[in-house]
Order: sequence, then structure tokens, then C-alpha cells
Amino acid sequence: MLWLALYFPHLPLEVITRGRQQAGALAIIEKLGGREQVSRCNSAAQAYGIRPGLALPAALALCTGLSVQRRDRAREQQALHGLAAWAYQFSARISFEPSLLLLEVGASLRLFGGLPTLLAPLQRELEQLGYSVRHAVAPTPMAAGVLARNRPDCQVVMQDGLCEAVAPLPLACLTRARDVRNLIRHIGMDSIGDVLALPRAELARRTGPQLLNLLDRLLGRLPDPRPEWQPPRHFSQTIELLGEIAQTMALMFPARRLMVALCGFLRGQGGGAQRLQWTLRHRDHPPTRFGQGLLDPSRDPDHMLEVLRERIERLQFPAPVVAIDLRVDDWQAFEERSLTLFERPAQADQALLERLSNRLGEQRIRGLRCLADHRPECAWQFCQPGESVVPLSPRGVSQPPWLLPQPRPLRECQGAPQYGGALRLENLPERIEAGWWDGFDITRDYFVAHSPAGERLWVFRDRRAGGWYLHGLFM
Amino acid sequence: MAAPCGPRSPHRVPDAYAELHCLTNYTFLRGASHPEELVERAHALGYRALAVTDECSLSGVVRAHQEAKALGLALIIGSEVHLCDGPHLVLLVTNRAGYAQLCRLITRGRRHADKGSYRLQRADLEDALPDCLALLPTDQDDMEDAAAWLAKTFAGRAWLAVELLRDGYDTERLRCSERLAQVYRLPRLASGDVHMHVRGRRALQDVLTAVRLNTPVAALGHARLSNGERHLRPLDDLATLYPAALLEETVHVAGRCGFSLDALRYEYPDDVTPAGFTPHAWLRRLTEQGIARRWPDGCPARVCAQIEHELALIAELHYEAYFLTVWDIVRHARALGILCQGRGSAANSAVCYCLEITEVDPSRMNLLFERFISRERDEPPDIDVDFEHQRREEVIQYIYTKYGRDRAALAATLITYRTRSALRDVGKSLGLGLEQIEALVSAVSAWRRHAEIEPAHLAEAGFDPDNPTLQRLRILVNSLRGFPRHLSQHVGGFVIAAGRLDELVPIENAAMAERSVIQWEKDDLEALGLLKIDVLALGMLSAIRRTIDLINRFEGPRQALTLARIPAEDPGVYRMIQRADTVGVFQIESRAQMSMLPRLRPKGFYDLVIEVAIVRPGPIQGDMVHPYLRRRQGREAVDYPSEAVRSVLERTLGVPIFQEQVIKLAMVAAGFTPGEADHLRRAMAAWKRRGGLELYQKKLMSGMQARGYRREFAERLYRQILGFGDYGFPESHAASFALLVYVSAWLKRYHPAAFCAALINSQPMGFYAPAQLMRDAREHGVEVLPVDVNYSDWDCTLEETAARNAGLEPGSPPGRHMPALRLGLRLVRGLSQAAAERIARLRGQGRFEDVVDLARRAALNRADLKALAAADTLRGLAGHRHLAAWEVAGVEDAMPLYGLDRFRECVPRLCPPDEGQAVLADYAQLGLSLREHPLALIRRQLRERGFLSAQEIGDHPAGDIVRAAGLVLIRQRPGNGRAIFVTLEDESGGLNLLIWADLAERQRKILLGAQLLGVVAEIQRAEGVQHLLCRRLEDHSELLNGLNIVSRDFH
Amino acid sequence: MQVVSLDELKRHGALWQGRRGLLTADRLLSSGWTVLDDVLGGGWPRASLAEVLSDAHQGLPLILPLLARLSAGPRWLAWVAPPYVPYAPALVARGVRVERLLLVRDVSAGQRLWAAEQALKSGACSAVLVWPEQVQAAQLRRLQLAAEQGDCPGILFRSLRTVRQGSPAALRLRVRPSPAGLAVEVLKRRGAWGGATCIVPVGRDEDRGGPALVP
Repeated sequence: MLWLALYFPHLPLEVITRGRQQAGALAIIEKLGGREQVSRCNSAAQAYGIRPGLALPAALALCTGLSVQRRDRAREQQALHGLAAWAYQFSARISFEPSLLLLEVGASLRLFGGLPTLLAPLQRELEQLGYSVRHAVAPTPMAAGVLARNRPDCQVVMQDGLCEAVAPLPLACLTRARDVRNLIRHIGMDSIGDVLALPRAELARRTGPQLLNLLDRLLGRLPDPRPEWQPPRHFSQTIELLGEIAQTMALMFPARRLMVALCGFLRGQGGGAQRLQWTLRHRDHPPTRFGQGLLDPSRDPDHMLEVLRERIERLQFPAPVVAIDLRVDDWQAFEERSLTLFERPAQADQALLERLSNRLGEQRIRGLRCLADHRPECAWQFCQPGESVVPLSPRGVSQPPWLLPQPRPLRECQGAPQYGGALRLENLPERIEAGWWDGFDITRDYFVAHSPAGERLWVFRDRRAGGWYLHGLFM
Repeated sequence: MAAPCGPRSPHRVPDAYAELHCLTNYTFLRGASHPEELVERAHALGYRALAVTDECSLSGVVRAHQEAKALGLALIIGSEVHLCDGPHLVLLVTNRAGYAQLCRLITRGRRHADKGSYRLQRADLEDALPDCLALLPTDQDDMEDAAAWLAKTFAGRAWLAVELLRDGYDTERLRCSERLAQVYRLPRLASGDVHMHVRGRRALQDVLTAVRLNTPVAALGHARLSNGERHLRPLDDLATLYPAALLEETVHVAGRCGFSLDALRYEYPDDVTPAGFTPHAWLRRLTEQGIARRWPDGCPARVCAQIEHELALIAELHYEAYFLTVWDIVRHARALGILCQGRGSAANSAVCYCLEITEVDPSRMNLLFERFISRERDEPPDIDVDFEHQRREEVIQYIYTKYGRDRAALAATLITYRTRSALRDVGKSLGLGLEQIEALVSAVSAWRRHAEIEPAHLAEAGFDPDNPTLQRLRILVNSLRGFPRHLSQHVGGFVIAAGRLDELVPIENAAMAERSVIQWEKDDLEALGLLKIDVLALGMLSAIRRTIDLINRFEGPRQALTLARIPAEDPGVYRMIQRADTVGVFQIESRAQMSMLPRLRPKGFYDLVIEVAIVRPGPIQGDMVHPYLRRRQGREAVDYPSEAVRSVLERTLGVPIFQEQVIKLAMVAAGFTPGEADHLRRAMAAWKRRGGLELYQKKLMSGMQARGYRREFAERLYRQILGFGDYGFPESHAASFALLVYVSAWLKRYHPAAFCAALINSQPMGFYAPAQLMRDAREHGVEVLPVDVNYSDWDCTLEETAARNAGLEPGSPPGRHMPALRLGLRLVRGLSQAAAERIARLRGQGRFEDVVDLARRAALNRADLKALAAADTLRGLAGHRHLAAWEVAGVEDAMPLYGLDRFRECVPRLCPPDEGQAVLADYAQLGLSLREHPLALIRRQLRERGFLSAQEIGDHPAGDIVRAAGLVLIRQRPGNGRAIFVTLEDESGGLNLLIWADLAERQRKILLGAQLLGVVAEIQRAEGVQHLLCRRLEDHSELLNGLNIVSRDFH
Repeated sequence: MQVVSLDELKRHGALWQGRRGLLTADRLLSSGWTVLDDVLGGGWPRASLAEVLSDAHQGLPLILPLLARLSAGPRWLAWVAPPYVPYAPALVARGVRVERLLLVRDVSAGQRLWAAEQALKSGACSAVLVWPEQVQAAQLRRLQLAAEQGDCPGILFRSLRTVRQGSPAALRLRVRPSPAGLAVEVLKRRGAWGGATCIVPVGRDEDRGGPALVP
């Protein structure tokens, strides 16, 4: 067996930066030992003297314009799974270590005709995916991993050379067990080679069996089985964009990365895609979704990108994009989808919605929801029909069921507001003062008013600028 | 239809109104105004009375009381409590008994819950508050039940509080309260649920809510108040809202509340006076006994007269019990062998010297006498006592035991918002990002920390001050600054009551288990004239006691050294101080102090008093240092603008150095009355928190100009007052400290080994780490011996030197010679004290033979053994460090075989560590090394890079530009921040760097990051002090190869 | 007594079920207003059109208790071309689950009727409220058919000017503001004589009773 280890040293950073071509100084932070500190940073940040391990305030002191993102291990794990899906085209046996993929390539070497022909496309595509990689090859998975992390580009094909290759590495590369590492340090030793030279029984007595077990697996003296990764049925990946993208064509950059990942996945599966579902996410708006259809199934990224470009040029979206998703579940999902359609209880709802939306346009079919705000203008919002809401304690008991889209100024006569004659106000107004924090600052006294025609109205006086307004109707 | 009427006519103004439900900002994160602001506003609006009803707290009442007293507003004491079985209600105190009941209730609620919260239920109120009134706000769940309970529990003393807040529910409130009033026969009254003094605090109140709920303001939703009605509303506005009867009822209720905090007639505890004595007679008896002890040959007439004078004053002001209480505590500490020293205005009186509260001899300090108690200032005497820091807890426990927890408790310290904490909280609540907030906060450090933020500051830090969010932020931060945030415990301020303390003030749990704190601060106690004693911890006292113990133990049965036997005014000690050879000496070991010593050249005790007081931020900011120096050196004439000023300033050559002098100047030069001067003193102390000195500025200026002083003199005095506000040092404090300066300097001069050992044994304390202390001792000829399991105790000890051991017969009498310092096992990182003590004890039964013997006999666990091996303390048992580590690692498994197994083991070939590794390991495990200085190991590389050693630099003339490098020991930014002080160290000595702020800013990364700092600098020397004025900084830390030496930065 | 609280509504539901079978009440939906139910013979027609005629789009409060009850179910409450913004917090305060609302906005007169018809006959709505501009009799018939087909009440808010037009609606009411609430006159009721009147006390304090005071 021969194992190819792909180590992604900048994964925490790249899951964030790969959506953009360039970025300013950026640091990934992580809470370690109760303090926020820099975990990774890009070259722009390094130029300011920021380095991993630096406390966050210290980093901000060095560079006030520093962008800071919290480390997102879940997203890294997701990215690694995405990479595995892509790598499936090179090997059917894949397993994980943190920030690292292990591919059994002994079998596929014959297929690809030797290491160099395997590695060249692999590295090229990884670059297109937006990841930097270090690799190593060794007869055991552990050795491959250790070497990729610590002696990148090292290729040990034969069992004989293995011991020699790992001996100079510090023991710390192999184990994090503090006891073991401290012992070795305290007896003035450091490398794996040093440890291999110690008397075996005495060493076992002092460190327990784990260290020897580890060394044996490293050198192939003991088997080292790994759980194998299983490819998913659907392709679904997201790139979060660092910052926002407002120009349509700027989306092509992250879209290409998703496309390369998709095609790797498709090659691994031996399939092709015919229908791609794209979702553009915005900060304060519902996402923009659109589909991309192809006449024939394909796994050619350039072709698919060309089609996408045409689609995207015509696309209009309501707000800058902060993330982009690509999902493909076409080639084996027909059965399942029809099943879920029948089981859905709200099928009729959806049918009516779709009929109305298709004919009248989506923006004319709206739902309504409450927002927790004292200002009447800000206490509600149109939304997708049926969108679930956080239950709120009702606040509007003295407020009318109808609200005017804009408060309507009322004429004033001898200090009394007029609406088909002088309005009579019920006493005890509701005073609403809110909004100093966002620029829509109101201070109003709302009254229930009675018009000469007998209508009940909701009117207010603007306490700051003066003047009376009609804002709602009770009838 | 609803009642057919418009808004009521605004012209009907009620006769009077009393607000009976009002929270101050002592209801943390709810109340949005200071007590003073509320009182002042209520007074301005013509309220008949104001009740301060903070939630389960009386923390703010003293402040409100003082303000109300000054303005003549009737203040009612009360509290809002939320019962865990509902409802919430407002309790009001009617008389002294009711006040005691409320204090006990609050204490009960607070003591039954975690710090910062409380827990009360209905049962706690039943029959507990016969002298309190209760108001029930009507906006609650299950009002029927609550009203029924209230009517029963507070029959004839309960009201429904109708709180009309214009939030859309007012109609319901009126209707609902009307019905409840009928059903349960409860009268109704108006109240405002006041959270702020003016409507304008609405935004700040929202921010407080946001902080409380940890949510940005914009996301608060309905948790935010819908309007700003919860403020003190003008009477005519109330008249438009409320039926007149409800307003009138408030005045009626206020009339039933006749209690004032002035009624807290406080009696000092008198548990000390034995039967048959009056306190005065007993104090006189003790004082006379003290005179006989202090002056066996007879008391000087001047001192006798002083004592009589003091005793008369004490009698007149009835302070005997106070002196006796302090005497008792000090006596007890002494009996336990705990060293202590009093300070504070009364502490250095002759009576206190006789009572052994202080060691400052009045005959050495003739200048201090007249200032110890002021007859005019109606306030209790102030005695703080410093105790050895590691044993203060014993003293505290004694106080608790003697007086009981219901009579003694710690004063609170109010933690208030500073600019930075306010920025963080306001920033978060305005939805600013983490990084923006941190950028703002780090910009603040450049501004003066206690100052308001101004737009220019924001612009300086690279922000747009016109940005609306930043404008809001700035205004909110400025008003939030100074707001109380939570109560904490005072470091050692005790209040002791004659009776139950919890009937005087509520008591809360402190963060520390087994501690309780009262809800008042020291200022509050002082304002009400309550007894307080500061039981403080001072590391130097521990070190001094340990030094003396070490000396006495080593020197054997000769006459034991005591504090009293240390000779006064030893010229050798002053010569040492003048050289700034003061590493480890109390107070004068800091860089700033050291640079002053050769210039000030102290020749006697009073010089030390001045030295201690002058090198402080106050005098430095007030620009007093240089005039004093010039005058002392005779380079400037000493003159006084008037005889009156001469009387105040003569002893400090015309420059005000002590806090009392400033106060006295305000009196003699600006015509302040004693009372005003006293207000000024308090305002000075509080200035950084809440400002308010501007008032005095005008008065000072005009008063001094009227008396013919030059404007310039007046302005300087005002500046000095500002400086003192933060860091003023009263003369009596300085004198107490100066005594410890002298004692510690004497010990260092004549017993350097013992002094160094004691300092290390008292760590953490002082300015220097063990490595520097040890190096300094070695430079003074002390032989330092390594930590070794066969020789070391937990503490550092004194040993006969190796040379002496070799040369002399055992048992010969020890002569006058210098002992060696044996480092203690306490330096070994990761070793438990218990294990170390077992090692020392069991060694007494015979030396340890090998590692297994040590492990078995001293019952050491693996962690202990590892620590010992890594610290190279097993060299006698196992050989070099690497072998020791290998051996130790095998111990636990070998133990069951009882030592046989170890002979069979195959021992690997392990090389000893080289010198560099050994130094590294020493630093890692001990924090110091007796081997070569790390820089000696890399001297060759340093030389290649052109660096001179500290010693070589000393041989260069001033003005030369040199390259120097060293380990960074200390980084400091003194008061004004214009320069950074850095202390470097190499194998030949220390170097003092001076780095101007602009260079520091340019090379900030290197300055803050380098462990091994290289500089290009100009040598400057003045009056025996050498500085290197830096031109450029370089980071050479990589030469140290990971050597982890921690510097002490900016502390 | 008139009601808005949910408890009261539940009680009302029970009452309505009790009357089932006695009257033709299974074809009627209680309005939640006792006085109104009395003149309507039990409530709103269940699978038919009802017209509310007024000067200025008045009459919504008459429907709110019904909407509150229907919104407990899974189906939509469609509002086609409402004249103002339905104020969500006030609707919630009156017990309406606003997530059931399906608003059709900014549409032409023809689209309104088309949308109303789709909604009525879809079976996905528990009520359809329509504010049409002009309606021809034929269009009204289509809507009536759709309501029957979808078993869904359709309530048309129309101008008083159309009083004299013929209509296939099962119920026609005329609504006017009055000092004590809304004055309702039954113009037409299928299977009964018109002419009954009542005052529905909307806007009285009871209307605002609702939940306990919890600021």
C-alpha cells in the first residue's frame, strides 16, 4: 500500500478567503486558555507583524484595520469533506486527519502511470479550488501524514527508507501526549530516532504502551486501520465570501471554485450533472435562488461556467452577496423527490402560492410578520407567506388593525387636528419614543380619535417637530 | 365609547407631590441616574419628598442623603423588592425601627442568594416590617392574589401604586386599580416607577437594558421601555395624567416617613475596656504603660505634653473606644507574631506610638503632631493598619471571631464604569463589531484614562467623529462613565458596630466564601461618621519579619534582633540609599525612585518621608518635583508669598508635597473654612470618578487673588490639587512608609543574605523577581547555593558558607560573618508545599540515598519527582538532569519490587545537558539560574553584532552613541506617557533605557515583543544616574532560542 | 358578551358545535360577536360569498374574531388587495396568527378577481377577503362558484354605491360607523328576510381587554 497525504496548512484561513481574489489583513482568531488569540493570518496581516499565537488586542494594536474572523472548525470539517468528494476521483480509499486527507494511491498509481502524473493535475486543481497543499507519500498512513505536515514533498515509496525518513523528525510530530514529550525532553532527547534508540522495555515502563504502539504503526510493524470516508449522494457546497460582492461578474471567481469541486465530485462518482441549483445569500434579504439547466449531463467545468456566465449576466439581485451555494442532486434523486412531495402536508398551500406567484410575480404575494419594535413603522414586515415567526407577546391591544402606509398629515385648527371636522381625542395617549440608535428616531403621542362622521382613528402628535398625523384606522 | 374628553387641561397644577418609587443607578443596569441627580431634580421640580427605592439595596442612600440634606429636600429611604413568589413591591421606612427592619430584610434576601442577587419570599415580609409602608404597583400578574395578601400583611400600611406611563395601558391601570381598591379596601396613590432624573437619559437607560440582557439595543425589541416616561415628571404634567386625589395621597404617605440617616446615632463598640474602668481611664492606663516601655529612661517633656494634649482631644471627641479597638487588634496580631504598622491621619500620634500601633517615634517626627485629629472636621479618626500580607487573614478572622459576623463586616468598594469598560459595553450595545470596539478601546489607552472622550480623540485614533453611531457612542460613554457597575469588597476596610450591624446597613455576601460586605463604601461610612478600620496587607512587613527571624535563627542565642533594636539614622544605610543601591528596599526600589535618590541624597528620616511622597504621580503631574530638587540643591531660592504660606510649606522648602499641605493652603491662602476644606478633600478623592472640582477652582482663584497671591501661584496650586486627586499622599502615610523604607534598607545593608532570602520567601511582592533579587545579593557578596533535596527547605534559608565550613572546626561559635543563602524548594515550579515540607522533615532522619529512597520516604508523587528532577535538585542522588529525569520516570513502577528491580534496568546512554540547555532548564523550572547569565552564553554572537556589555558602557563617556543589548526585565510607562522606561539586563549589570513616545510608537512591535532587545542609544549621565536615550530598537530574541524569561510589564 | 380572548373563542366554538344539526349551522361560521350572530342567523356563510358594503372599506373588525379562530388551522387567510396595511401587532393582539396571512398586493382589478377565484377554489384557504374595485355580476357568480367549490367563505368589501346591484352572495351587509361601534344592517340573507340591524360594539374597551397587563 502506498499513502498520499494532502495537508492543508492554511485551511482555517482559506475556508474564509477562497471566495475572494484578494483580501486585506485578516486574522483567524480562536479562544485558547481563556483568551482570544490569532490562530492563522494571511500574508497581509503578517506584514504588520501579526503571527499565530498573538493575543487579539495585541494584534489589533499592531494593525487597526485588521479584519478578524472567529475560527470555524465546523466549516473546516465541511471543507475537508468537500475536498474528499473532489479527491474521490483519485482514490476510492480516503480517510481524514485534522486539516489532512489520506489517499491510498497504491492501486491508482498504475491507472495514472506513476506519481508525477498523479500529482500534477492534483496540485493544479487544488490551486483552482483555492487551497494550498503540502503532500507526502509513504507506505503507512501515519508516516504519510507526519511527513506531509513536517517534511513536505517527501516521497518514500519503499518500506526500507521509512525509518530513515522519519528519524530526524521531533517526537512532537508524532504525539501530543504531554507526559511522553516531557519525558523525552527531560532526558535531553528530541527526535523520533532518539526514541527508537532507547531500550524498549524500560521505555515502555516509563511511557506506557501507547508510545511503542504509535511507533510500530508509524513504521508499519503494526496495522493501522482507518475509518474510510463514504461519498455523499448529493453535491452541496457553500463558499462564504469574505465581505460582500455587489457586482455580478465578481461572482464568477467563487463560482469557478465551486464548479471545479463539483466536477471532481462528478468524476469520482462517474456521473454528470444536468441541473445545478445556485443560491446567493444576502445579509438582510431572503436569498436569491436560480437554477442552471444543461441540455446534456456534463462534468466539464469550463463548459458549465460558460453557461453560468450567460445566466449570471442577466441576473439581478436585491443586495450584495455574502455567500454562494451550489447544490446538485439530479442524477439519482428522482425517486426520493416524488416521495417527499406526496408526503408533504402543505402541498396544496404550495400549489396555490406557486400559481399566484407565477401569474402575478413573487413580490405581489406576501406574508406578514411582527417585529419586536415599539415604532409602528418598524413593528411589522412583509415576508414570504407562511414564514415562521418568533411568537411575540402582543403589544398592539390599543392599536388599530389598519395602518396607513405613510402617516398622513392632518390639518390643525385652533390646536385641534381636523379630519372631516375637529377630532375628539380620548385621553391618556400612548407615548412612543424610540429609534435613537438607528436614525429613525420618533417621539410621538398616539391618541384614539373620533371623527364627526363617527370613525375611530389612530392619530399622533409629533412631539419634536409638532403637527398631527393620521396613522391608522379602527373601523 | 370611551369617556368623551380630550387631553386634560395642562393648567391645573397640583399642590404637591412626592415620588415614592424611584431607582437610582445603584440598581445596577436599570437605574440611569446618579442619586445626586435625582435628588437635585426632584428638588428643582418642587417635589415635596423623594423616596430612593433601589432594588433590594441601600447602597445609594448615603449619597442621596448628603445631597438632599444640602438642598433641604425630604428624603425617604426605601427599597423595591421582587418576591420570588410574587409580587414586586416598594417598601418605605417610617422611623428608625423601620429602617432597621428594612436593613435586616435586605440582608436576609442578599445573604440567601449568590453574590449580586437576592432571594425573598412573602413569608420573609410577614410580621417583619411593622414600621414600614408598602406600595404595590398594579402592573403585575395575579393582582387579585397580590392585593389580598398585601392588604392582610400590611393592614393600614399598604397602597396600590398607580403608575401611569403613557404606554397604552394607562386606562386599564386606572380601571383595574379602582376595582382592586374597592374590593380590597386599599387606598391608591400615584407613583412614577422612576428610572432616570430627566427624559434625556432614555438612550442611556436603553443601553443599560441592553447590557443587562446582553443584547444590542437594536435587538432589544419589547424589552426596551417604549418611552422615556419613567423620569421625574413636572407637576403640571402629572396633573394631566392623574386624578388629583392620587397625587395628594403621595404627600400624605411621605408625611408618615419621618426617618433620616442623621438619626443613625452611632456608638463605637467598647468590648475592650475591662470592668471597673472607663474607656478613658483604660486608654490612659495603656498609654502610660506604653510610655514606660518606649522611654525607659523617662519620657521627654515635649512628648509628654503632646500625649496629654492628644488624650484631652480624644476625650473631648469621645474617640477612646476607637483607639482601644485598634489597640486590641494590633495587640492580638503581635501576640500571634504578626508584624504590623499603622498609618493614616491618627496613626502616627504619640498615643499610637505608646499603644504600639505605630513604630514611628514621635521624637523623630516632631513635625507631625498637630495634624492628627482635627477638631473642626466632624469625622472619626483614621487609622489604617498594615499587616504581613500572608497572615492578614488571621487578623481578619480574629475580628470576625471577636465581634461576630453580625457586628463586623467589610466595607464595599463600588466598581464603577471607566472609560474603557463603558466603551466596551456601549459599543457592544450599539452593535459595533468586536474589532471596532477593541480598536476604540486601545485608542483610549492613549487618552487620559479618566477623561471624557472628545471628538478630537476619535479623530486621532483614525475614526470619523461625525459618524452618527460614533457620536452616540461618545455621548453615551461619557454619561455612563462613573456609573456604579457592581459592589465588590474593600481590600480591608472593616466596619464594627456596637450593636447589630445589619440594623445599620444591609450586609451582602462577598465573592469570597466566608466574607460578607456591607452595602456602603468607605466614603459613605465616613459621611455618616461610622467607625472603620483598614486591615491591609503589606508584603514588605512579611519580608521584614522573615528577615529578622532568619537572622535570629542563624545567629543563635545572642540578643535577638527586633524592630525596636534596629539602630536609627545609620549613616551607612543612607550612603547606600544615596547610591540608589536599593533593589528590594520598600518603595524606593522602583526605577523612578532610584533615579531620584542620587539627586535627593536623603540624609535623614524626614528626607525619606519626602522621597516616598514626592515620587508619585500626583506630585509629578503637579510639577512639584523639580522645584523641590532645585531648592534642596540650593540652586533656587526658597521663598514664600506670605508668612501664612511659610507656616504650611516651610518643612518642604516651599513646595507642597503632602495632601494635608494642599488642604491647609486652601484654608490659609484662599480663605476656605475648615468645612469647605474638608469638602475639597473629599472632592479631590472623588474627582476622577465624577468630577466636580470646577466649583472649587473658582473659589480658590478668587480667594487667593483677594488675598494678594499671584494668579500663577493660584493656578499651580489648582494643578497640584488635580494631581493629588488621584494619588495624593498624606504626610502620616508617608512617614509610616518611610519607617519601613529605613528598616528594609538597614536589613539589606547589614544582612543582605537574610534580606534576599526573606524577599524570595515572601513572593509575590515588590518590584523584582527572584532572579534579580538573587543576582543583587550575589553582587553584594552573598554566596548563593542551589536548590538541593538534601539541603533545601521549602523556604530559602541561611547556611554556613562552604569556605567557612571547610576552615573551621564544627561547633565553634559563629562569629561576625556573612552566611550563605540556600535557595528553597519553593522556587521549584510544580512542587507542592506539602511535599517540600515532607522532604525537609524526613531528611532530618538521614540524608536521602537515591531517588527511590526519596520517593518512598517523602511519599512523593510522580509530578513532584518530575519537578524536582527538572529543577536539577536531585544531582546528589541521580547525577545530571537527564539521568534524573530518566530515573524519576521509572520510579513508580519500580516501587512494588522494593528497589531490587532498578539494578537490573538497562540504563540508556544519556548526555548531560550543555551549559545553554542547563540555563534554559533552570529558568524554565526555577525562574533563575546560578549558572552563567544567558547573555554570557551568547556574548560572542552579541559581540559580532556590535553590542557592548553594560559594564563596558559604564566606561564610555556620556554623549557617546553605543549599541547595547539585554534581556528586557521591566517595561514601564510613567504617568504622562511621554516616555517609556525599559530596564535591560546582561551578565554584567543593568541598563536603564529611555524611549520617547514617538520612537516607541514607530517601533512598537519590537518594543513590546522583544525578549532580547538591542538598542542604538546615546549615553546620558546626570547626578550619578545613567540613562541610554534610545535612537533605534532591534529585536534579537532569536539568539535566546526560546528562552522564556518573563518581564514585568506596565504593572 | 363580545369576545376576543382565545378562551372565550374556544367556548364559543363549543357553543357553535352544540347548535349543529339543530339549525343549518353547519353551513355557518360564528362571527364571534353575539349580536352579529343573532342577526346573521348564526354566523357567516361557510362556503359562499358575503358582501360588506360601506363608505370607506369599513367592516374589517367584524371579521377579526372569525379570522382569529380560523388562523388556528393550517390553511391560508387570503387578503386580496387590502386598502391599507394590515397592522400585524394589532392583529396578533386580537388573536390572529399572522403567519397564516397570504396578501395579494399591487394588482389590477382583473388580477384581483382572478386571484380571489384561485384562492377560493384552491381548498388551501380557510377564508378569502377581497377588496375588489368593480365587479360584474358574472364575475360575482364565478366567485360564488369558486367559494362553493373550495368550501371557503369569501368576504367582499365593497362600496355602498353597489347596494342596488344584484348579487349572488348569500349575505349582504351594510356597515356604518356609529358612536357605539359599527352599525350593521342585513340587506340580504339567503333563506331569511333582510332588514335586521344591530350595533357591533367594536372599539369599546372590551375590544382592547385581551391579555393581562404585562408591560
